[in-house]
Amino acid sequence: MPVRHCLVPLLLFSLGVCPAWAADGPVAHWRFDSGHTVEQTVADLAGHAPATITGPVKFGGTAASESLLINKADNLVSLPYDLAQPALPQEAITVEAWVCVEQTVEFCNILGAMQDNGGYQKGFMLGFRQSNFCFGLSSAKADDGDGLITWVRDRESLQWGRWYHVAGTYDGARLCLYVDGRLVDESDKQSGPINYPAAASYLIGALADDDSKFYWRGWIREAAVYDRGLSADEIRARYDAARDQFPTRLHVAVGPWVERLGRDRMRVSWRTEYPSPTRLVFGDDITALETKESPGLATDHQIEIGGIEPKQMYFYRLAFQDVEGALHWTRLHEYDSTYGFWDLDIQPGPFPYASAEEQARYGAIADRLIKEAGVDKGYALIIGNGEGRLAYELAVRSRLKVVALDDDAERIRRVRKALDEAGLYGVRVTIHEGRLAELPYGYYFANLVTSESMLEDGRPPCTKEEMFRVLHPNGGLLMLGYRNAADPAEAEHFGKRRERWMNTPEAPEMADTAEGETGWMSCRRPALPGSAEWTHQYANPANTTCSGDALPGKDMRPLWFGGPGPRPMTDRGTRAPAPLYADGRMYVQGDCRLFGLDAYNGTILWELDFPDLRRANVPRGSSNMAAGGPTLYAVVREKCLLIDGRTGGITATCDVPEPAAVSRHDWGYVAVQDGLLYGTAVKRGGLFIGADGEWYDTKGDESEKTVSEVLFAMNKNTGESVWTYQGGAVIDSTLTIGGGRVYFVESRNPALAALDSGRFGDEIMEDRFLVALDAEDGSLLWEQPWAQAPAVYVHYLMYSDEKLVSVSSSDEWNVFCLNAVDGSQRWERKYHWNRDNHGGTIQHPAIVAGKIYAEPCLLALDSGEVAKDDILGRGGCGTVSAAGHAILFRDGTHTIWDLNTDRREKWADLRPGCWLGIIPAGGLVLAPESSAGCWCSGTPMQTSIAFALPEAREP
Amino acid sequence: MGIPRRRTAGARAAVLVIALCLVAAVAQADWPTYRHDNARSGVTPEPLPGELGEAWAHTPRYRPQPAWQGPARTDGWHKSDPLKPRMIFDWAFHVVMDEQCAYFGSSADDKIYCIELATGAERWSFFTEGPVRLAPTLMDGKLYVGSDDGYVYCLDAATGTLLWKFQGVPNTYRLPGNARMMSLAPVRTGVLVDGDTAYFCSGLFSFEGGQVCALNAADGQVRWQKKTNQALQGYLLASKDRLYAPRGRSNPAVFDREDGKLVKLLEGGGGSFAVLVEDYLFYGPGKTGQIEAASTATNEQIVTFEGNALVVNGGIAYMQSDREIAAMDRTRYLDLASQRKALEDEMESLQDKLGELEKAARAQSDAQLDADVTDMVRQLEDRRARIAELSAQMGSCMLWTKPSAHPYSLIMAGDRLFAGGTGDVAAIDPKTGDTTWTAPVNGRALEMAISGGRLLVSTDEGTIHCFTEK
Repeated sequence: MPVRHCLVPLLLFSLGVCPAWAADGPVAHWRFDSGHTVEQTVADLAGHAPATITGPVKFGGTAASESLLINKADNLVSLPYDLAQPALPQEAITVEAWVCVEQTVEFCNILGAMQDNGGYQKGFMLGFRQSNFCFGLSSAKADDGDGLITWVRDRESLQWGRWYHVAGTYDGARLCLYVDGRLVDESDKQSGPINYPAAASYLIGALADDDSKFYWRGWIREAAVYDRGLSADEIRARYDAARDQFPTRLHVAVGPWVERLGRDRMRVSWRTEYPSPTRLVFGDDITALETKESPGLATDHQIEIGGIEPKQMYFYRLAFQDVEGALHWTRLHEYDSTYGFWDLDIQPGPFPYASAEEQARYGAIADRLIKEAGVDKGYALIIGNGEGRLAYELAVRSRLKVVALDDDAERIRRVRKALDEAGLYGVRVTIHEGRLAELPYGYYFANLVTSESMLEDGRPPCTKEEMFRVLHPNGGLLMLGYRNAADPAEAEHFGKRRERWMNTPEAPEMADTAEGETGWMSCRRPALPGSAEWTHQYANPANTTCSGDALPGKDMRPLWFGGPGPRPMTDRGTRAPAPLYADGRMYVQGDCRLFGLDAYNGTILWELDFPDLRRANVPRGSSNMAAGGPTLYAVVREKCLLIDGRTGGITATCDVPEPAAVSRHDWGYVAVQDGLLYGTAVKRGGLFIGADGEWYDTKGDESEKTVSEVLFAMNKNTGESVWTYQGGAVIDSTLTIGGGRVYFVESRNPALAALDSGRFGDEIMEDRFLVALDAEDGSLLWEQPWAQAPAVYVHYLMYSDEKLVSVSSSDEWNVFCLNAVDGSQRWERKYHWNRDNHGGTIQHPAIVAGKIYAEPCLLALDSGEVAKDDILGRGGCGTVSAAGHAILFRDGTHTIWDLNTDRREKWADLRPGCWLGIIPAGGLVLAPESSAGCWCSGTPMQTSIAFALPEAREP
Repeated sequence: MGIPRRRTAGARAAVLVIALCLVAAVAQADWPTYRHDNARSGVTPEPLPGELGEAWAHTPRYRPQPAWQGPARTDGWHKSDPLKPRMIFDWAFHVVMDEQCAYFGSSADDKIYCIELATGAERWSFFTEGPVRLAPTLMDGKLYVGSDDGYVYCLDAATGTLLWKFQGVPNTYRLPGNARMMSLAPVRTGVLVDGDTAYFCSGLFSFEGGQVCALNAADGQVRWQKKTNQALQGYLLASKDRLYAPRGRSNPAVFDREDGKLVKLLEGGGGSFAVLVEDYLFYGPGKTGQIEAASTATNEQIVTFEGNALVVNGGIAYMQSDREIAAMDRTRYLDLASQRKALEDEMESLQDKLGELEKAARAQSDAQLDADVTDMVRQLEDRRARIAELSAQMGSCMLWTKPSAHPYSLIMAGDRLFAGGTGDVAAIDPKTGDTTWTAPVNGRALEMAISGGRLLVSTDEGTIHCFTEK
């Protein structure tokens, strides 16, 4: 007999555990700590079924709460599946566990023996589906007659990193689920003996039946099985008896968030409401995290961590021990150092200047150019590179990538060598050989266009139109310096030449200022004529899904491509928030990570790793981002962060206002318009955050709608509350702003209050009202009952041209058009979808130039007349986005439908994500990588990319 | 070979299936192109000295700057992880060698380098106008290399002097791509030189189009050019009649060597590793570490097995996966695999017939139809049993399997295998799988080359280590 098997009975004996448990006690009982585990075996305190741990045995937590780490597929706990053993009761059962889930998955088991394979469903399981605890069981006499497992489920999402007592009971007639001693759901659809499968895995901490395997990460302290259904009082008593053993969740005001400072350095930041000695524990071993440093009493906390190993998964959490010694901690966060592995630490060397005077002059010129350009990252183009002095100085004084064009091969050779020796060539400066008159570059990429040769010889190196062609819209600077001739006649001569050059009719106006010996000609490029922004999930607060950008259409070509690639992005299927565009920048949400990109050259301006930044299933809720001017408004938990779009700096934060409470509510919907920041307060747990392959394409649990208790508006700069509205349960996906009004659908079903949830299904179909408030002061403008729009799958509102369009889906699409001023109905249409999968039932329509593109129909906004009933023909999941004359969608790959020519072009090689990932804005088509995790060997690349017209069309 | 998690029994059997043939004979004693030859065999008959020690390590100022930095961590829908990077052709500075020098290109500073094998010192360098991502090819004293600037360069290997250059897609523009200013039509297939012809492909996006080109290797004059709408990235391979071009995450494209016409797109899990072994092209590593094998005669995918890379020597195939290295009797295995494939094809046909019979039997009551259904079911069961039997026999073809911490690169020199790991490189006895030598390296050893008694190891830190006789 192996040693460990000999030890188990000894261990039981030493603990004084009597195998003959009391008659009403558990039939199996495991405590997952070092005191009850010998090698890979955990004793059954009831004496029947010792558990076997496969994989690493690691314990963590405090002495009172020591518990086993369940680390995804690395380890699991198994029990013998023997129907004759007491641990598999036949007539009735209670399953209970103390668990702390650090990372949920789509569907997983805490303790159970089950087969859930389509039509073959037998056994029982206590676990969670996405973020909701659940208990399921199949019985011999199922009252609903389908012979399948019936599930009871907690409506509230579980919080990662929080300890829970979870119990499922079945007394032969009634199925109940308790969370923290509270009954959260019940069913009487099953009765009679438990219907076990002939073969199954009896597991703790993993789900493995014949057609699926799921693993999660977290801790388990204790689990037990009873052969009777415990009463509510018994469950409550068991919860109360142990609840104080466990750490409680630590709430920090903002963060934590992570910035990479270099290849081997990172900074973790967080803010607390009050000065507090919170500490950071960090490491690559979950069970052996080290306190990195205690920043002491402070509200703003920052810790820099060095020695980051490449391609390593790190873990961290914040912790705080109160004066009574109780431990409070945040959930466990991950940091993946793979991203950033290739980053370079560039330390420039000297440049071979002819003189100190020359060095000083070019240094001053570079400083001036950088300051005037107002950018630190991006591209600078030097036309006429001369001796490379300006290229060198721009590179060492900023983070700009310098591209230089010159036409003298020998000089290029010399300057390349000098820049290479200075450690800048390639990584920061590139010199191309070619004719200066025809720039070999695409459009719009250069944040700064200048010339060194003109500084010396006073001659513009190419036409102004050509320089302007490559200049960055939304603020790109064309700035050319020249040396003022000392001789008046010569100065006049060059002055006339410059004047002729500047005044070519096709070119933009330029300013010409002479300062001492150096004169400057400059202009700044405005936004592209006809271009527009995409500032909200569906383009704008009116949810038209149309930017109105006049430029996108046929014949567009790549403008840039590259990062971010798939590694830091959210899995493709989770219907995550759309990218946004404002003021020349694109904002992209990755997997708990934000990126700010220069939309015209793809430069990643900044990135923030926010472990709590996550939103999924947007069709049933809302995005967590909006943009306005230079600011990105990003929602993390109960706060909206105001982020400077240029730098990624957090400039301010706003809380959900009263009567919502930061302790109970998260910030749901977010929009910004006309000086106001709009938001909603959702009961914690109501938001969808799944990112484990959930697809959110069907009805049932995943088509429940996120609802809000409070709708509010505040000053977008100060956070000062302007108005709040509290009525029924506001369906976030319907929130729409247009014409100076805020519209939404809410349910006033009185039964909702008792359910105490931030997410509902059929319940919110009752007592629905369509409501319009004044957007400025929140006063009620009109409301009406709204029962005529079944919305099992989705419910959207859209506003355009004083018309309010309601789009919902149940057995078919239901489209209503109302007068937005008074809510009177204009028309309605009902029609069926092409298919009930791959987004067919959840499409968000687009309104373009008085027409509604609502797959499969094209409807007139004015009349509802069906112009076509077979539009789009999507291939794969995803939903549309629209420009002024084009529709973007997924037809296998990125696809654009030019509405002017009715021509479609597919950008093969590239697969979009499963929701809205391609936006037409800034005169471009912007498609950040959104296919992450996809097998799709049919698409050779996964890249972010932007497309532009070769020549900007006039709108 | 190890079995990946969550793999079905059928997939386990498939893992064991492999069809392998002899490596093309290599007459040269140097390492003139990526993985030694145009079949990318990674095999040289040249033995290395028994006792190897590090002679020098050349660390360029900047580590590689790859175009693509790897896949997502997981495939959420399929619950698969970790996912394999399928575009790793530029994660290290791959070298080629003659007896005096080693040559490589840099994706960081856009240069082509020549370093002396005796000392590791730089002899010359040459600037292109974009990142150089793939190894040059050395032939008759000339060095051929492609760049992200859209040009193929031919240099004098002795001096680095430019002999000629050629732009695959003329008059295209440059744009910010992979964080660099580069051509819309870069050369990311390397340059394959066979006889007096240099082959390469340019272009990146299929919707922009590209070119498959054959040039006179002496002067860069065009032999033929063919437009292609494939996105081609990864080292070209050549058989007598075909060019094989990896397509990044996708599966290789097959072109006719006579005119560049597309013959076929292969099927499978994709990836930019490929090796040609007479009648078979092996490519991967797919989504989670699988090598596909396709017949070069039919271009049909034959088998799939676990692995990141492989080399073949004689009748034995050596396969490298994340946790193991294994050797297999390829001859017997191939025979069994072929038989099994034939049976699988038969089964597919029988399944179709059974479906038709069952449909007819449901439509009308007919004793003969019922009997035919019964007979068809019996035939299927027979095939199924024979396939199971063959699969079991194929399992016995494994000669040895050893745990290994060297999953990144695998080559063979004389009677030794060399495998790259994280922080070290190892020599392995091909008869037993035993590790006979290890040496530390800076980073992950992603590629190796051998010539003149020297082993050169390229890591993802950009370091090139030279090991030679102690």
